[in-house]
Amino acid sequence: MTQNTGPVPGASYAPPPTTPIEPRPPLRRVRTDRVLAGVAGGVARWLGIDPVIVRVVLVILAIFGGSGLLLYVLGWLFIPEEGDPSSEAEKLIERGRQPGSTTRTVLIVGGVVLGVIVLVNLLSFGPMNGVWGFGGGSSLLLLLIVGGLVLWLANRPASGTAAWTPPSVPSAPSASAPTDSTTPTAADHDAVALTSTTAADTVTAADAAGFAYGGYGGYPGYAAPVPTPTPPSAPRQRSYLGLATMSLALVTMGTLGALSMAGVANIPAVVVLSAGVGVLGLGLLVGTIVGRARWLIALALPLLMVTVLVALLPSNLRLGNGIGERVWTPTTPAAAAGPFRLGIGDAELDLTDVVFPAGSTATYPVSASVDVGELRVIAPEGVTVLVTATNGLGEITVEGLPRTSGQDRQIITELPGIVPESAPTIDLIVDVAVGNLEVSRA
Amino acid sequence: MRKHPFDLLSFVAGLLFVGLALAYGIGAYTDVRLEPQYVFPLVLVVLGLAGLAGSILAQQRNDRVLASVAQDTADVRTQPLR
Repeated sequence: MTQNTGPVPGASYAPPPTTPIEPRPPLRRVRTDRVLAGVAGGVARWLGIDPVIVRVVLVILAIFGGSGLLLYVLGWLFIPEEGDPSSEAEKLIERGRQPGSTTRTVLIVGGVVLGVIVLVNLLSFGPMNGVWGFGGGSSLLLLLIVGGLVLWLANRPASGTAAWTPPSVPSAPSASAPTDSTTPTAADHDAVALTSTTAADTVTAADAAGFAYGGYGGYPGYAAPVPTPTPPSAPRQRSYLGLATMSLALVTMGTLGALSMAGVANIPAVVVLSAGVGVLGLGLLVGTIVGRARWLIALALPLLMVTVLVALLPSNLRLGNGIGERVWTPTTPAAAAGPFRLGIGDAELDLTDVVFPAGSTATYPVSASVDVGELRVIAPEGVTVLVTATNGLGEITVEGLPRTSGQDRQIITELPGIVPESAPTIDLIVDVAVGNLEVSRA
Repeated sequence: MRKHPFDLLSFVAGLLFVGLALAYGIGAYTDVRLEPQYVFPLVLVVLGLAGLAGSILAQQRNDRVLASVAQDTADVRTQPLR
């Protein structure tokens, strides 16, 4: 390499290859075909559907809960207008900001404040205050989340390519070093060799340091190296932590569920679900140090929601007792003992055919349960019947007592009726977790 | 898997989910009960705060990296990260 191979600033600078144009147009508010600020028209063009559909959806959402209005305002704020590089929100922030880093902070703080306001609103006015977040307000929350995601996804590719451009050609340092060394005296051959090496080294070092510099002029056929600008952050390695964790959570929940269904272990549904939440949480904890698994949060949140809901169900709810309709008609006291169980469905326990030993005054236990559904028990005449009825959520109708409904109640009573002096006793223990329970004489 | 700087959001979310899972698991066998109407709002607020703190930390980290790069390559002009 000789002295005149110094970089010629900007001589053959090749810009990095541009990314191919996406088929989908960027999400922009339209200037034509607009009613208010062009949000609906822009979203419709972006989605490739008729603007009327978007407007109808927005109006419906505005009427039911007002989220349509909110979404429209958000769209007006955050979607830039056609031919305008920045959105209204960005312009607002642009006016008052000092260093570049505050933009994002302000946006995030604003988003959190907005979120808290929405949360407080839902908390105080939600139609289902008892089970907060699952009532009509949840659709608003869901819409906010979906809307935010759509906006983020829509603007991400555009800002990804536009926000960062390669640094300008650093002409000064790499050009000056060779220039200094290109003043050799004829008498100083060794020195020339020495300085030229230094010059070459300088160039190489500069090149290796990631400088985008002006290419090698004067070498025909020698393609100028494409400048390799230093990216803003190291390219992210694909992490399989999230996938592995999700799979592990599925296996855990499946195994626990199967054990419960097969009757090997009596595992409440809430434990199966919370085990899944726990595994996802452990994956996230691993992701604190190695690998990337943040999207597990999006998976754990709905699972937690279901867990919270299921935990609200009565504690006597168990899975694995079968689904369908049952009519139990035992004929002997031993067969009547049960326990009769049904998971989901309607069941009838008819004790009128049970033949008790003549002259028996013993107490015969009978137990029956339905998890979700209805249970009717028909007791025979001429027998003392002690009833212990437990109901998680629903109605209890025991003959001789007024019908009651409510949550987590237990009624202990004796069925009315004419019972001879020496008659057997049925100790009837019935349990319906969710649904109606009825006990009566034949 | 590649080691990376401490991720606050993952850490807080992980603790939260593991903690709640334990609470519900224990609650299924004991009388300990969480107030259901507060669980979900609490989770959202905590996750949001963690995300906020995490992004501010990441922003500062980015700014520091940028500053050191800028020092190394004296007059290489780079656009601020947004």
